[in-house]
Amino acid sequence: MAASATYEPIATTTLSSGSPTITFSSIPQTYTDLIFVMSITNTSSTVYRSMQFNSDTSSGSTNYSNTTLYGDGGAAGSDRQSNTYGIGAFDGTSSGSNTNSLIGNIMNYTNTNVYKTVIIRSNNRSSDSRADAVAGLWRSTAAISSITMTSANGNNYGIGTTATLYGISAA
Amino acid sequence: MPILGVIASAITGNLVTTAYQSIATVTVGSGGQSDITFTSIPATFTHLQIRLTSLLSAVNNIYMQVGNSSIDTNANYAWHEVYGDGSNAAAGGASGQTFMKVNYQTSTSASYTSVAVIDILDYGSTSKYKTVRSLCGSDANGSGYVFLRSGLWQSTSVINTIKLYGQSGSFNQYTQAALYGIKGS
Repeated sequence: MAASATYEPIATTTLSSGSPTITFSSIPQTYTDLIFVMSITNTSSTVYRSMQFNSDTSSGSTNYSNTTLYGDGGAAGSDRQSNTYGIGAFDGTSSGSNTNSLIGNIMNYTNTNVYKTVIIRSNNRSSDSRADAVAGLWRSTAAISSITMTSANGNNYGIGTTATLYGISAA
Repeated sequence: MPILGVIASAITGNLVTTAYQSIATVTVGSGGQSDITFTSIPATFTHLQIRLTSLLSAVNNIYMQVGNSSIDTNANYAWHEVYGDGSNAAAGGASGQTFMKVNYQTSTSASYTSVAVIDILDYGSTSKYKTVRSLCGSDANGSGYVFLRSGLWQSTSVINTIKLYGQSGSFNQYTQAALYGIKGS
C-alpha cells in the first residue's frame, strides 16, 4: 500500500467584527471528506449554531435533522430536531478568554447518490457549559459546494471567532 | 444579515501536510459486499484512522475486528459506549467479545448514510493492548443515534489487518471506508 499525503487547509476566516453567519463558498470538489473547525469567542448572548449547505438556508427549508448526545456537568441527555432548517449544535455565551469549539466531519460531500451525514463534536465553556456529539443529516443528494454556519437565534459570533475548513482525500 | 464569504478556490500555495496520509480506500460497488477488509497495512505510522460512510442493509451495529496477518476472531475484545437516541442518554459495554462496535446504521433507506471516524492508537506497539475509539452515528429525520465508543483488542501484536462488517446484513453500494495513517515525530 502506497500512502499519499492529504488533510489540507482549504480556507480560514477570522471575524474582525461580530457576525451571525460564516460562509465558505466555492468549495473544491476534489476531496473525499471535509472537516470544519470553529473556535468561537466574545459572544455576548447565547448563540445556537446551525450548519447549512448550498444556500439551502431559508427559514422554510426543512431538509435538515440531527440527533444529539450531551452532558452539562450534572447529567447526560439526548435530543433531536427533525424537519428543521439546519444541523444544530448548542452553544452558550463566551467572553474574555473563554472559547466554544466545534469540529464537524462532513463525509462524502461530493457523492450525488446519497444524503449527507455530518458527525460533530462541540462544546462550550460558559455558565451553561455542555459537551455535545451530534449526528446530522442534510436530505439532499447534491454535492456540497458551500457551508454556512449561522446563528439560529440571530446573535453574533464575536470578534476573534475563527473558522477553518480542511479537505481530506482518500486514496 | 451580513455574510462573510471566503472563496476557497482562491487559496493558493503548497499547503499539504505530510503527517496525515491516505493508505487505502474501499468503495462498495453495485453488488454490495459482506465486509470490508484492509490487509498489509504498513507499520510506518503511529496511529490509524478509518473514515467510514456506510449503507448497511440492516438496522444494526457495524463491528470491527483486527489482527496480525489474519483476523483475530477469538474473544479478545471489549467495547464500551455512551450514546443518545434523541430522547435519552445511556451507556453500555461488554468484555470477552469477538468484536468491537464502531458504528450503527439507523435506516436502510437507500439514501441514508451512517458515518464513523475511528481512531486506532499505537497500532504498531508490541508492548501494549490496542485501544480504538469511534465517534459515530446517523440521523434519519425522526430517528437516529449518536455514539462515543471505545474498543479494546487484548493483544500486543502489531495490527496489520482490519475487518469491518455488519452485526447483520451487508454493505450496500456507495459504502466507503478510507484508511489513513498518522505519523509521529
